[in-house]
Amino acid sequence: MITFIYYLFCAYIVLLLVWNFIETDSLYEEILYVFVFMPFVLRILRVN
Amino acid sequence: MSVKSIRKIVIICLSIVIMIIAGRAFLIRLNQKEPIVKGPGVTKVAKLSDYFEDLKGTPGDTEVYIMEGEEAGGTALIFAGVHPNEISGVLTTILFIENAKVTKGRIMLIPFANNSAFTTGHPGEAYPMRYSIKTEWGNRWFRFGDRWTNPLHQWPDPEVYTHSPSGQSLSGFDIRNLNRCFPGNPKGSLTEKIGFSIAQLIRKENVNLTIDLHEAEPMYPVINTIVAHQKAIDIAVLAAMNLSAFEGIKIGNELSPERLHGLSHRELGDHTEALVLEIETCNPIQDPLRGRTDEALILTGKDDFILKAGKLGLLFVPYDEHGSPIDERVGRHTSSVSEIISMFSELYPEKEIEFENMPRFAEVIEKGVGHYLSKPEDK
Repeated sequence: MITFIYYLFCAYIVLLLVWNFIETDSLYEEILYVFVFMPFVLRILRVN
Repeated sequence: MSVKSIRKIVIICLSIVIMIIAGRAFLIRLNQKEPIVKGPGVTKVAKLSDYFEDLKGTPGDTEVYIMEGEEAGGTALIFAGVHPNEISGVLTTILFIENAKVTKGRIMLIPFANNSAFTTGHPGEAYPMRYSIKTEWGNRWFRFGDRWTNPLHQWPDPEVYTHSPSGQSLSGFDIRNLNRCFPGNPKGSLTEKIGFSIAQLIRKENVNLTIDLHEAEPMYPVINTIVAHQKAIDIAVLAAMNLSAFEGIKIGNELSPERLHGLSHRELGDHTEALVLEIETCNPIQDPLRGRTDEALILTGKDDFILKAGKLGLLFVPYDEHGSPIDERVGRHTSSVSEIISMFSELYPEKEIEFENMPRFAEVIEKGVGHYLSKPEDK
């Protein structure tokens, strides 16, 4: 159960980061958001 | 479409490419296993789950190689890969599997005891995923893993891990350290089930002698030594004396501490009938003081920072520019295992175990580990 909640939480973080990525106008922040969400995506896919 | 939108699309596409490249590497690590060549002495290959069904189909299941002699005798279990970043034991068991032939008694071998831990690395340690040993026919690759079970396979860690059955409190993440999970718990975590499976193997196969192969960092005091359960201390001492006298291998003896729970030499000695010993060699890549962490460090053990520490008297082993090459570490293990089995057979002649065609320290140093590795069939 807790593992399921953890993966839901990771997915929520990814959604927040993608939302911020879409909204921002700063190149620096776009790159930052992408760097942050990449490991979360790999975790949700259970690759690492 | 605006410039900003195009820029966002390009960045997303680049990130997808990066994730595919990284993800592919991680997936290979999760799923690809190095091939092992069954030597002429291997009579059967079992699975660890044969001794505890709950392990079947889990990432903790692993192969058990059995070598049975024509003459009846005792049974020895040699296992490595309890900590997959400690590679000399893994290579030693593989050398046994691919070269040795048992003439009396039985030897059982588990090269990848914590199979899950071979599929991951430790965050922040920058360990290479693989290393290669040069052979006469080319390079042969092996996985380099982590000390702890892959968190993809076992999560979350408790704040405090309560060892079963002693009740001792240990660090929470050590619930994923197989060498804190013996004798195991059939209803516990994956790692505890692996420990239980190994204990069940020892009980069901009436194993008389158990040897666990490890490595340690130069700044750790339990290094280049044989750690023995009190039932096996005489074997350990005799083996150490002979290794020193006849092969020039300086090796210490340690008695398994009775108040530190979970380790193979303590728990398997207490909870099974087997005599249990653990052998440690020197592996500088485990030392937090190390510099560049790469395949060269795994194989040569040469590091300038550890050398400086040695000159300052901070190490527990002699260390110089020569480093700690893999040939020496494997040679120490092959000789130590051979000598321990020999001393066991002398002290317990009714449970004698004999084998042949296994190189010892001097031969491994002279010809290299690669000389004794077979070429896997093309798959």
